[in-house]
Amino acid sequence: MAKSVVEIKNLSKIFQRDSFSVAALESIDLDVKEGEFLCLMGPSGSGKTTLLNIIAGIDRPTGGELHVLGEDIATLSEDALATWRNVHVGFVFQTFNLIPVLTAYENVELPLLLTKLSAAERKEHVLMALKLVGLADRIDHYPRQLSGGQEQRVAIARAIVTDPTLVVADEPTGDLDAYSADEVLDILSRLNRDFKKTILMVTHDPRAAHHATVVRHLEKGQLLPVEN
Amino acid sequence: MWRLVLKNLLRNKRRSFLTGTSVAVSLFLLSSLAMVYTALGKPLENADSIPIMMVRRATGIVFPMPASYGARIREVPGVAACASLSWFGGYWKDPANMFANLAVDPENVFKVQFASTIPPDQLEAFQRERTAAVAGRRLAEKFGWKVGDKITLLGSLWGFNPELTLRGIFSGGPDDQLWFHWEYLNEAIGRMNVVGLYWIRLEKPEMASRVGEAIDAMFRNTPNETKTESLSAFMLNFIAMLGNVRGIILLIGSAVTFAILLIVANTMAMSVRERISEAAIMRSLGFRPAHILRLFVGESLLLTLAGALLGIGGAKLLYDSLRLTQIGQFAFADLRLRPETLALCFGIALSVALLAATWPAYRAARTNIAVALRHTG
Repeated sequence: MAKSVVEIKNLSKIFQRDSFSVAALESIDLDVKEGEFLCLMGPSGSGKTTLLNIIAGIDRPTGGELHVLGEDIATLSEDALATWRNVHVGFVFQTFNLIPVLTAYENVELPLLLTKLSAAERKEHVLMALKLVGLADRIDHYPRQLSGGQEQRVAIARAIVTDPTLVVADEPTGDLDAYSADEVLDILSRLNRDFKKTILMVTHDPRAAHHATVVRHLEKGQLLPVEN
Repeated sequence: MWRLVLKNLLRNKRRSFLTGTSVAVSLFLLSSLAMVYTALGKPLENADSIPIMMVRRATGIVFPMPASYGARIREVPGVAACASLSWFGGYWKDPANMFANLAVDPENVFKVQFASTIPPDQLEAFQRERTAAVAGRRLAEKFGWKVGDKITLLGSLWGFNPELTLRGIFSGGPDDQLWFHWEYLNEAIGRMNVVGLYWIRLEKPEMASRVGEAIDAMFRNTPNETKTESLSAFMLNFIAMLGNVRGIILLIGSAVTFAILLIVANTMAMSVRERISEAAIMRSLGFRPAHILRLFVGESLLLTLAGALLGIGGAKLLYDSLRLTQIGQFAFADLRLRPETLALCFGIALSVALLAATWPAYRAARTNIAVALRHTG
């Protein structure tokens, strides 16, 4: 039986807005197995992105238990959490979020600057990642010189260049046309299928959900039971 | 990491250029002010090793002393030579041609000003003739004077215009001055028998304190009490007569420094605010808050130090090429950007860069990633 990558028990997240408390997540229980392609769906404001951020270690829960890759990441310091993210998690955002002054190559190389790899080793990793997303011929292009789909593929290359166990994608097709969205989803499916990456994806798009192995729905901060 | 700093700095080339230029101009001005400030605080760098002292009236250098004091001062143990001098304050041909012209004791002036050398025949000619004058080489070259030239000094408060003949040109020492006979002046003003100051040369520099006390004690409780002091102390007193010039310079310098701080702080605040979400992306990739802090502070340092190199380096090159030490007079005889002044200006630039960037960079480094990712800049 596959081991758990994400184990969540009774997790909650409460945002303080002036004198009001807003519960973004309540009593969340979730178990994501290694090699799963989990799709989180739900209406706007249901807490999908908040849950994804907490699992990826860029936000912290207010209560409950959270273990990702066996680590209680809620207790890690900022610096330890940063290192943990660099090693274990790859991010893909809706708006691509590439650094505009860096080329495709330099954007993908960015997470590797924090490792002990030599320049030659970094180059090998970067070229491999860009080749995997079909952009080996665009290494010197700046984000403004790429189409939206190409930018998102560079972002995926950046997410996988450190060979993380977990790839999190927040609405990765939200800003793309249908053709580019299919390209991006195909790449994510290949990463899951061929490279055994565990993928957590938040989306509104029902077509995107078809690529997932597991689909869960969130509503008003609560995870709905698994549909059979 | 420095490559990233440089790329970010060049992201908005016009803004970086304008900020860098503003910093350069401000630091040029600051280093110029610092140069004058330093010169006014320490007119002669090696003054303490020069065995020359000045004797003036205790009440101030504008009050004269009896000419008879010279003979008594020469008797004080430790005094190797003593020469009187009186500030004449004239100009040559045009009021723009102002320079130090002094009525001196021709028999003793070169004994005191041992660093000034003059050919023996020229010295003899100077001493022999009542209307003779000698000029320093720097001054003679400035006005194109040659031995034998007639020089008439005009515009002095003493009320007469001495017609002098240049009999010698000396090198070294205060070579931006012209000296003529005190007797000539004394005669013209009705034999008042007063002098402005005495230059004394000590047998050894370390005797300064003892000799000074002995001279001042000798004239204590007389109508013309004296104050004997080192060259640098004398110059500082002279500068003090101009008012608190150093205070004014310090005030302007502080205002300039504050202006640089505002310029750089404004640029860094804008730059950081526009890139809050980028900082969050980098943190999501594993960059620590300290990395983000270093990135922004590094930008500020690079920008400010580039401006500093341009401004301070430019000032150094300009003032060295103008050879201010060759044209400066009296308190400004050693007007140059000294190493300690350069270090001070670079230190100020460094502090400004750190101060301007640290707070916005700290905020960017500490902002919640999830919140910052929603930031649109």
